[in-house]
Amino acid sequence: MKFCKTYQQYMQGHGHNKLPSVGFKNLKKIIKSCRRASTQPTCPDHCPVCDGTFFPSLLNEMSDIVGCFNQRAQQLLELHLASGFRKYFLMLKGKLHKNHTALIEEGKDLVIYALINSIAIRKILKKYDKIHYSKQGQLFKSKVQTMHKEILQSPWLCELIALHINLRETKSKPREASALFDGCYLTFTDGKPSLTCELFDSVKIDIDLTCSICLDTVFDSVSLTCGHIFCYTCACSTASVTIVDGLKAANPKEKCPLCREGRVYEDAVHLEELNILLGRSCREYWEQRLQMERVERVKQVKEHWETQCRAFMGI
Amino acid sequence: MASFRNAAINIVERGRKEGKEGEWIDSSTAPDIYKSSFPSPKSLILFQSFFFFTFLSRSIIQNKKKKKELKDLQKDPPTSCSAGPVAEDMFHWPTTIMGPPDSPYARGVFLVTIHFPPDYPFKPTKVAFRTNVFHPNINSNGSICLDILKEQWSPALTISKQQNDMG
Repeated sequence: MKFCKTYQQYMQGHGHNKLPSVGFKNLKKIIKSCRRASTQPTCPDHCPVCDGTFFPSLLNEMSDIVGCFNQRAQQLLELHLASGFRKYFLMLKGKLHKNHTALIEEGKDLVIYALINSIAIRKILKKYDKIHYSKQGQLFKSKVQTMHKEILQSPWLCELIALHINLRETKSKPREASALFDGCYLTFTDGKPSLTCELFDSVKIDIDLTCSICLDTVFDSVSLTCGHIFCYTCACSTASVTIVDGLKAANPKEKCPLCREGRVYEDAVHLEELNILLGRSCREYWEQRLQMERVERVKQVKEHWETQCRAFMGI
Repeated sequence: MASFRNAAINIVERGRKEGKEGEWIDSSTAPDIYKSSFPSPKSLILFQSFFFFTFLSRSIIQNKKKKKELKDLQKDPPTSCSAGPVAEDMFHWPTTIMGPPDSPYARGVFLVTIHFPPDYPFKPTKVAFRTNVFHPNINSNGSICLDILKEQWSPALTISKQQNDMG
């Protein structure tokens, strides 16, 4: 079956959720109209049809998809991680009616939604490049990545995969996977962990969980807005801020150590589910790191309060 | 680009004339090899060795308890260079680099010092040549002109990533 049909069937099956999707048919029509409009066999660099219709409409769809995915993922994770007063408050609001299996299902659906949409976007851009004999599609993709509209860059995807594994391993019995979804799992290659997620038989994403600063498994992980994952203390040290001040206090000029992109620290996301998963999977390492981090944090807190007191006393 | 090339050739020519005894293992053969080709900034194994030390030291300084990376690198160390800390000082590494064969630096033995700052890897290492090297990217003090050792430094730089940057 062609991917276009698979995609449409999937989106129709989830029609009750009214999730935004990639308008495959509409985008194909635009490409065809462009071919009819241009007399040349290839589309010129600045084609009014493509520049004015194809890319803007695709960008809007991508924005909607990423926005919707992030929002729903956040809500789901909020439900799962809620504790104490927060949990009580959500129960009163009637949000916490979902049982364990419902959470697993929704998490799985969101992961599939993210992956299938990323494939759809990749396919339509490939088709564009094939028809136009150009690399505009690839350029658009990299431009979108810098705008953080790429769904696979979303930190919530990593969190959802971790949530799915956490829920599956803790309480539920193994269930039959859907035709699309081959599952998520935490793998260790040469002692280095990574999150793996498979869709169909061929599509597979790997999220490396090694901090490229300390070259160890990420501890108290944080994802920058560019999508790169680091240990919280490593990220703070790179951004030249103390653990007390946090990443929000980072200078906007500070760049990501991997992609050198600016303004990536202020909206960084703490990956709580991933921490739970890694804490359970590598207990010894986690305990070791916890002790080391505790010492470092106490030291930084002491220094912070000393400077605060000095400033207050005018010393 | 042409002017840079000419300037670099002049540096090499000057080096050929001013080459001192003791800077080459076999000083009689050195000038001919020196004359043979124009050195590219990649022709020194300095860079490879620098990557090796950066990676190696990080595994020692950052993860005192875990030395997996150190073991991996000891299995397959880079050729033509040797390095190690001075006594107990893990932050100061004298290094020896052999000039790569089929380059103007063949048969040369170059001494390099690598100094790791206390807040490594958040600040770059200080790498300097102690032996006189006539190379367009190395000045008379032995300082190396390389952006990833200065303003383009990143704490995430490792062997492979830095080699890609050099490419």
